Amino acid sequence: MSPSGHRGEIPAGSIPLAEASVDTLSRRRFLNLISASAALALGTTSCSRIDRGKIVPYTRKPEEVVPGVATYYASTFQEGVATQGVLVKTREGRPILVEGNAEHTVTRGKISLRAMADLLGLYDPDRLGRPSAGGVASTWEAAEQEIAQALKAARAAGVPVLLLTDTLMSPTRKALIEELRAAIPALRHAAWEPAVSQPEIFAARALFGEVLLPRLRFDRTEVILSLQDDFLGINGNAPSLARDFAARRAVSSAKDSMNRLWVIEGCMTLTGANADQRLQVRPSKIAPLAFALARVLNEVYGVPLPRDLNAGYLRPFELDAQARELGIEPPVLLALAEDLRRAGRSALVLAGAALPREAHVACHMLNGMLGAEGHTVDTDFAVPAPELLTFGALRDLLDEAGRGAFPIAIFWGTNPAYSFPDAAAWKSAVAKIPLKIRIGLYEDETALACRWRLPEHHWLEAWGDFEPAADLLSLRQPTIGAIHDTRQGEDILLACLRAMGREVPPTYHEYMKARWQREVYPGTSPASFEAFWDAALHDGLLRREARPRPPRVARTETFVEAMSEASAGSPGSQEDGLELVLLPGMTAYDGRYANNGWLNELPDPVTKATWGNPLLVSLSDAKRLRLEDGDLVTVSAGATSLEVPVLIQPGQSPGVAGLSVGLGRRTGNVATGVGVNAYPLMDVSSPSPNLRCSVNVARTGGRRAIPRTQEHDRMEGRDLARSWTLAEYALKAGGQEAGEHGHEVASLMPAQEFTGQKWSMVVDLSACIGCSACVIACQSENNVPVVGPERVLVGREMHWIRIDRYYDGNPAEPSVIHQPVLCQHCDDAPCEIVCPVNATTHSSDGLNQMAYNRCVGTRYCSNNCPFKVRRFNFFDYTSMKKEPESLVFNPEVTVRPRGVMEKCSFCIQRIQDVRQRANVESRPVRDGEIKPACAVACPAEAIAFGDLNDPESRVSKMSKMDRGYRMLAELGVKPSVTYLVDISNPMTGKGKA
Amino acid sequence: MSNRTFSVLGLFDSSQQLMDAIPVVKARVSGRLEAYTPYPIHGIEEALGLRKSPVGGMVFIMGLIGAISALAFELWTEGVDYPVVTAGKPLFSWEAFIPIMFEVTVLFACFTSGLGMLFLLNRLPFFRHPMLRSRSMPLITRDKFALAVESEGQVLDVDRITAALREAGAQTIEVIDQPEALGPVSPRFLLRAAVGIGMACLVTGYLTYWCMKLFPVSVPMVHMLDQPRLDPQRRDSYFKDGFGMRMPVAGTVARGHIPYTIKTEDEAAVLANPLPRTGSVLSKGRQEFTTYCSVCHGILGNGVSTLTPAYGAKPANLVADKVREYPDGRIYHVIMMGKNAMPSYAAELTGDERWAVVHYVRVLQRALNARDTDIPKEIPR
Amino acid sequence: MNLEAVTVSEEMLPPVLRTPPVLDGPVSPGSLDDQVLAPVERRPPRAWFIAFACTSTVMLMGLILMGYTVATGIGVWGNNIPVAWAFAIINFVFWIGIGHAGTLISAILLLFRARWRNAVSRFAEAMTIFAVMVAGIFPVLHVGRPWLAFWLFPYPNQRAIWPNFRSPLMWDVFAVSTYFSVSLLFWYLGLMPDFASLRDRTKSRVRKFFYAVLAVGWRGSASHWRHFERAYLIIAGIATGLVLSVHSVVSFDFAVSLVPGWHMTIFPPYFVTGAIFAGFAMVVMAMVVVRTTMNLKNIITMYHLDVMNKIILTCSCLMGYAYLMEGWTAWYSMNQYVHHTFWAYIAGTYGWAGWLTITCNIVIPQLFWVRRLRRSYPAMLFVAVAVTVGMWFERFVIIVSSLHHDFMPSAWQVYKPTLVDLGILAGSFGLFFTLVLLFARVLPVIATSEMKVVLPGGQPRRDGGSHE
Repeated sequence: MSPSGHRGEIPAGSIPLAEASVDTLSRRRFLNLISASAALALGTTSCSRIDRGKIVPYTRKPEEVVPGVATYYASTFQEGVATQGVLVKTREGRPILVEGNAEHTVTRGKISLRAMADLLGLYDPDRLGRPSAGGVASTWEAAEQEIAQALKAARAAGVPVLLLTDTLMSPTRKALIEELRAAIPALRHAAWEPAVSQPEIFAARALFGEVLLPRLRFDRTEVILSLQDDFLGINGNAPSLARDFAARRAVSSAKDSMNRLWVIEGCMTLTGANADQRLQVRPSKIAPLAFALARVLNEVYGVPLPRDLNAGYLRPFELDAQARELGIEPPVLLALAEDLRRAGRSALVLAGAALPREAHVACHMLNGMLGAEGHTVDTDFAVPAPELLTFGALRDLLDEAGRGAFPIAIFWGTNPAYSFPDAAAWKSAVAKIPLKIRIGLYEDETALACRWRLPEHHWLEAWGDFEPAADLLSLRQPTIGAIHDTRQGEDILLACLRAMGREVPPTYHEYMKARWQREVYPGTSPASFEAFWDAALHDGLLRREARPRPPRVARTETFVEAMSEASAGSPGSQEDGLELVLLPGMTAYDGRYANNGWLNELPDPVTKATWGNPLLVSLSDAKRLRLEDGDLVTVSAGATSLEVPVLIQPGQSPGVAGLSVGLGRRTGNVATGVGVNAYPLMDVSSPSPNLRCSVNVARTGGRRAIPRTQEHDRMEGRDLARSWTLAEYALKAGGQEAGEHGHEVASLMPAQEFTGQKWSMVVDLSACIGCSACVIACQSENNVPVVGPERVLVGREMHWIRIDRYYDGNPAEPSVIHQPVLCQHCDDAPCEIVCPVNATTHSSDGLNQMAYNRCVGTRYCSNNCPFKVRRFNFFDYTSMKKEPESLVFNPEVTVRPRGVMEKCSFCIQRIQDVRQRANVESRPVRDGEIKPACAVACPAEAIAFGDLNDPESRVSKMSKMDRGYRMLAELGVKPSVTYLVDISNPMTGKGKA
Repeated sequence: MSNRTFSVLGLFDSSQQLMDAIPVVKARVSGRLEAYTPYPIHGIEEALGLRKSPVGGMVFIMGLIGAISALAFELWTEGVDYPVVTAGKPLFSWEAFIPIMFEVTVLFACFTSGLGMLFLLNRLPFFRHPMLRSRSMPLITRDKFALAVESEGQVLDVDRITAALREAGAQTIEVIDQPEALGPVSPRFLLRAAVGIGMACLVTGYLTYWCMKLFPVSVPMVHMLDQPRLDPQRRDSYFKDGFGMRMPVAGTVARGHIPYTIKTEDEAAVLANPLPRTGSVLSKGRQEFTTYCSVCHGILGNGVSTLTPAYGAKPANLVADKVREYPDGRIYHVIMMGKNAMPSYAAELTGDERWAVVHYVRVLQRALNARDTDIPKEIPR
Repeated sequence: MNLEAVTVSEEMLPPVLRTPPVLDGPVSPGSLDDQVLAPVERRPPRAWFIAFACTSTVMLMGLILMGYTVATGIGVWGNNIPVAWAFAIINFVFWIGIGHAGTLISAILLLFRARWRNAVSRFAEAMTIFAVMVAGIFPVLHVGRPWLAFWLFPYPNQRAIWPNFRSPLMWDVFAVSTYFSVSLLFWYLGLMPDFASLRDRTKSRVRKFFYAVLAVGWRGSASHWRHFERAYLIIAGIATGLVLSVHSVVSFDFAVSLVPGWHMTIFPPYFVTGAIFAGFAMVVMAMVVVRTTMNLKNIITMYHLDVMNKIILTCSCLMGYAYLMEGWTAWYSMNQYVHHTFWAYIAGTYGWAGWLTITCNIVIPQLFWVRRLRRSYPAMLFVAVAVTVGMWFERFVIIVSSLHHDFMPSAWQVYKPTLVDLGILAGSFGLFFTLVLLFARVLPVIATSEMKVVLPGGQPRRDGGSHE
């Protein structure tokens, strides 16, 4: 934010929306006097009924803060191996919103919905507030003392000390741990993440000897083949990937080229929902199919095989045979091969975490053959993936601990007590560790097993640096002083170092700065280090030139091994039982966000289920097992079994079930009792634990209703969300059907005129992937309450923007379309005329505005809203909040009490903010300057907002596109939101998939 | 027992007898004839020579007034006094106002008819009417029919009337005396009335006030004035120090706020003023200078200000040669970091404003050290 | 009342309305008074107390649940988005409907010179008043912030805000309040002469004072009667328009909106008919009870019930027509949304309610084609109850079934009422019957002065022969 824009709490000349006439004002004053005197006469003025509070100003006002004006900080969000550059919006030194940092070269302003939602985690009342020993509140001093002594003793005895952390993406943190190891030679450090794609690591290590984090260049990609890989969904970098992916789909004319997405998968993923061609294959059958494709590419289209690989090895992989076995038309597979060959190096093949190792090898093989390796799979500035324990390795480690190898264990961040499948191993291990220390945010399952529970800073309170790519360093800085008596995890380690008699800076902040001065700064900048450092913090990142790394070379033997494994058929591929895909959910991820109300209530983009993780089964399996939505079943694999409600998922391939991990936590007021913990179903010994074969499912007879925000999946032949294939688009372009702008309903009333601005929005259904980031952004920006499962169940969710997901065609293999629906701000809004108290009216710049405080709650407006976007406060939801949760509220938006109707306001507060700034700078509002929260958050840039009266503005141009139409225009309500028809690009001319 | 008679009435068994009696009595006696019946008798108006009831006319007029006032009120509120657009309808969308117009018309008409009849035409309520205290009244409201000759001031010839009624077939005759004339209304009564009305007004007034002002915001009614959100400049109980507004963490860098790292005034000398010397910049500079600096340094920057005697320290004279030799950067540095008794103005002024002030200080210095050569050769007349 | 005021001679009238045998056996004005007014002075029988105990208990439960709702929020009901309106509005429309028979009987039948109305008018009007009172609770209760419901009235305020007169809900506010006040006035005017007779016959001084005040010194003089009759007739005339308008306005709440299934021009007549239908059912029910328990068999005769049952039958046929028209509109308009909604009525989640409605409102009343059934207690009670239930469910279908499936399939939701919903519904019946019971004790259930008019020999002979 440029500071010159707004100083002073009340910017000069903010535009009044309604024209207040003079005599009204005088009358208002008159009536005020009357009532005042009346009150005086009745002697009731003494009882002022609302305490308006005291003014508490800054005693010494910091330079960067102006009360009532937002200050932004660049910082970094990290999760697993993904790091995202964020801008944190703070008000009076308190974060209230997390947005993307557009200057960040890797994520480029696109951040995941979890990054946005974790703001609520900062203010989570369940956070551990102060250190405690054995459940008794204690002090940091005591903790340091005891730990120091223990460490000293351990060093003296030379016994190993276990330090288990999550992924180490931070160079400085890595250095710190190195230093700690230097201080305690017997330190055993290990990093573990349950939500990492283990087979991928295996495959890469076997093939190339090293594991890299390549950058996927969808901007260079023509044809994508995703093998059960949900790169638009749970992938850590999904937002930035989605940006490039969608950029190639938002076509402006039928002649534009579009990328084509082929998806071969068993479970219906968000990526599968966006596929142009989708083939249903059980995960265990995908690897052979991939090799068969390679063979066809080689034999039919003469694509060379990898260096000195004997074509003979590909013999066993018969395309037709497999097609027959899988019930797929061979021509479709040939078409796929042909398509890949045509794309050549602009093709991209991806394999998902649920697939076995050999499938990933096959994926690398195809990329190599097509030349995609190094082009669309960009390894130029890739950094090696941090070392991570596999499930098996962690089990060995725990066994070792179980044999009493470690007198001291520090568990930092990662939560094995909950997420490690083999609970027995964990229990025996912790039983044998005398001193267990937990560094974490919550008193979670692992903390409960530890003596010392040391509360850690939330990432919004912490310092840090990350290295997402060789040419980029990303910085993290605190946006608020610690809310509780917590410390940064690194500071605790520094304390240990100090105890070991090392000379270390007092704080991690200093430590990091010192290291940067030593290692990063030299030769980077002419300016002084202070200036250099401040600039880096200001930008939140440091770009530096690095040499592109040489292309990777694959080991041929690995291909051969993989092929033999694939031809042997994966162990669990026998037909009995289901194949169960166990992947982290999009909201709770690996379980760390399970206590976040916003994320729990966010409907899953595909199933629209909230507050839980139902078992997704295919229609045919459901029929076979006589299952209905909400029936409880026992899922049993090997020794473990658990009870979970089922959800019948159209498009799920027969014999495949899906279940997301990360729920069923045992701690946390919000998390407890939500969903089931599916980790125990993972097979620790298996190389691909995310896929469990031969799983048995049996009805228990019980039922548990699944709270879904959308009960009805079909459009009933209504013309709401429109989808054309590229071919259809070519036909319709310019024709009658294209667009709805000619569609004017005759009216007896003269049309309303908007002089000046007329706000409007354009939503490109072709770009929208349905990821639901906008929902979280809106919730965070507009203080949208969380209502809880039982109220979602009766249909009282409060989201101002929802993503409608419709299935079309054959339910067994449907085509899917997503449509974000928010208040359409109709020019002739039906909700307005029926409000008896004028609580919802029309502004002179085309907004359908709600005066919350005038609303008495007749709910007539909701009945009369054809889009059903109005939300009603059936209870006083905010009164249920605990401190400090209410600090998360955006001070610019009224918090609505019970009995009041609410809805999308096009982020009026942002419109006014920009207007005021423009006024202060005495200039007109620039196009694209106003961005509603949803538009900012949308990774696919599917939402455009602006002034329709300005012919040059992006929206007025887009809304005139021949793909544009207004939903339910035939009702004559004249919506202000234009939708652009979704364009799909299938091989055959007949709709998606 | 007063000597004056109000009326003489005779009771009949049936409406028929009553009707037959009327002409007979009319012929015999002078004086006003009035009939009392348990229910309306048809044709009795004509027989008694009463004129038609004017209710219809009243109703029509009041109905019309109702219709017009309702429509006018709606048009005024929706179109003139509170012109808000709903559903893109015109402000004067009279079509939508018809239902209410109709209802109000009905309301006016009906109440005119009913209450007008009672209060205006029938002069009710009237509890002191002599008839009400007569013996015949209970019979009349039950099933008897009475014909009465009532005095309109003149003295009635009771015997004659009695005879006439007997002749007309009345079984029982009752003579009803004129009640004592009511004395003038007593002051005590007036006082009571006044006090009563006053009390009533007070009570209703207070109740209305309570209903509209206090009731809606008393528990459990929720309202929006006390927001759970934390507004600027507010105390927050959650933080121990009670400050709702938090200080940024030391060492952090906010967007657009690169920290000022220069330590000494000499180092600051290298800083160059990025702003051009345009009129707008200078006027900006003057504005900020007058707001923040002139308080101590004086409106001319010569260190002479109203505040100067008020406290010990002597603010710098900005137009003195010493300061004139300062490079821009040095003045800027002083604004940033403060000097001696002068605090830092970093928080009050943004970067551009500081530089603008520097420009303006230069202007002051130049203006207060003008040379003859500054005067143009020929002075325009 | 003065039927001659309208100068239409008997012969021009349809036979149904021709001078009926409105009485069984000899009744004189005096005996009428004794029969009707005496019970008011007597101490009520045990049966009354038992009934009162029951109804007031149910009422109390209802009131407590209403308080609970106000204190906690509308969330304690089953409402959701899209079904934002449910029980509260259903009950409102239902009770307003019940409130229509009274004014219809007093006003319209008065204009039609149906003499039989005089016996039942008083009771019917009382039921109107009470029904509208009960109905009036629900609009206030159903809003999200009831304590601010007074904002619906256009009163000058510091905020200088006026309500929106374009909203059908505002029309409702005016229609219902007008209807209530006019009905009350009409009722009171009718009662005034009876108050007078009560005042003159009662012995207890308290009662005397009470009735004397209410009678405002009515003395039945001819000069008063003439104004009285005129005014009464005029109000009746206007009230006829009013009674038709009120339920039309209520139907505008639906017809004016664009919800498929609501947005129909047939709604006003359809609703008015339904209202009269339900109202008469309720009156018949009450009359059967009254004439048996308060032994008024000779005044409220089988003939009365028979006529009212004929009206019920007529209305039932009209309703049948309206239902058919809805189907026709759905088909003929070729509007897929309306089409879907109509199918939802009869085959959707709430199809059962649709069929229940049709059975109760269309099929069962057809029994009244048989004269014997028109005159048998069990039959008419059965039909009356069926119609009451049917009409309630009709509103349920119109409101809930239309809302739960509207334009946006993604927003479709099933609605389930909660116990609170049901409790408040029961409570409304409790309140209504409590009021009716009180009325039956303290006021004359039959308009004696009006009855006396139509008693044999009530009126003097005139040229053109006498009436008998």
